[in-house]
Amino acid sequence: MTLPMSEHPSDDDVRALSDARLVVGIARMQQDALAEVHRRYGGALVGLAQRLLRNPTLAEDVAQEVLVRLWRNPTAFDPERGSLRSYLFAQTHGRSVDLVRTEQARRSREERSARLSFPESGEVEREAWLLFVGAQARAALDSLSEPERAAIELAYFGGLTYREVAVQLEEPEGTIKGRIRAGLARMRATLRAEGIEDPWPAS
Amino acid sequence: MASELSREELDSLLGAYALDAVDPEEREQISRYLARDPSARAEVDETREVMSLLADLEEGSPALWTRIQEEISRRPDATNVHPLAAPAGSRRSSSPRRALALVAAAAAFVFALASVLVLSDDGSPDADRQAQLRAAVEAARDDPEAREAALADVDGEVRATVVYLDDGTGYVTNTALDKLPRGRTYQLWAMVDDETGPAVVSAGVLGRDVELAAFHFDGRVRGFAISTEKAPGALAPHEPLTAEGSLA
Repeated sequence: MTLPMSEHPSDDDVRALSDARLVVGIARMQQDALAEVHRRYGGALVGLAQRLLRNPTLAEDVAQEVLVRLWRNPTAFDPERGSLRSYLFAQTHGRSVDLVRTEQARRSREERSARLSFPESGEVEREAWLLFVGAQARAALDSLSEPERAAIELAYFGGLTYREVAVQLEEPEGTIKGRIRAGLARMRATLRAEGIEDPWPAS
Repeated sequence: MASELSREELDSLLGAYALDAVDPEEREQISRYLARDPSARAEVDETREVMSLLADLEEGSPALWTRIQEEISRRPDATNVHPLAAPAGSRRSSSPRRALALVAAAAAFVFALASVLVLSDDGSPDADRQAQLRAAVEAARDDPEAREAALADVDGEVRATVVYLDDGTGYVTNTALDKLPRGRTYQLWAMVDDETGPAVVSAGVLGRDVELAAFHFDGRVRGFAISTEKAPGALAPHEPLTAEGSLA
């Protein structure tokens, strides 16, 4: 991978770079590259963490930790395994879930309502492609049967383990993990049928 | 829990694993499974890809970026940044002329040296920064625009290598530079062509025990050299060059 930065990049240059090239810039300790990654995904990472943690300060801490970790160890991101976006969200989700599963967080979480609603479609301002694939992903989730969708939402957005989901939905554990896996497979198949096999062809 | 899961059980948990919805013991077993099973790994990766699409994209807030910037800027200070400035000890023996020379030296270095980040010196190197620098060097070497120089001593032994990019970023890697005694430092010199002909200009002070160093130098550089100097560095090399090499 090469970074077309024979001169110090302008803001416009950086904004035009693919995610993969931004990671190369980060490996070269170019703060502009990390700033652009933050601009693209920072708010969404906070949003995901906030959804799980219900605590804006903790959510910002998690997003900060994830982006600083990328800065310090960019080689941890393996482009062969997926997009930068996927990597950052997986890191944020994992870290948030770790936090939410502490006892203190667990207590506050138990006070929340049992069901978590799926977020309304928000403003996706960067690219039409992102708008398109995001809408398709939501449609794929919405197209699942209610039991599958509920299990996936509670696990992903609620930060619950499949065992906790089973308790909450009063279903056997085997049923829940089966629904989660089958639902996710259906979502992937739906997106593939829409031609979205690689959501990030330009990266 | 803790019993070894069968392959069928591991497969049945891949969806929950991708959503971070398994117990720690299961997570550990599934992680090991993924390391040896590409199709399972692909299922998890694809699922995470799909889930990442569900989030509404929002730009990061300026406040968050400020916090991140403070965090990442704090780390280099903890390692070894070497702009040439008047050493504390110089105040004791400084004459006006000496003070002027140090100011000139500092100004010259500020001009020539946007930043030099060195690993390592007297302290133990920060592992994160070390990994980051290594990654930077690898990325630089992959750049088709990069030029490299092998800095060899008079016997032809390569003592250090330099990778230099078009944007002025460069990296020095120690291949056979011994640790110097206290009070001495390695210094990097850029061999340039200016209006008056060939010249040698400081590109940074590397410390007495350098492993990897990042530097920035703008100019028409032909090659690089390293000398050993009295700490904190010199305006011009006072000692015979330890090693030198042209950019290829």
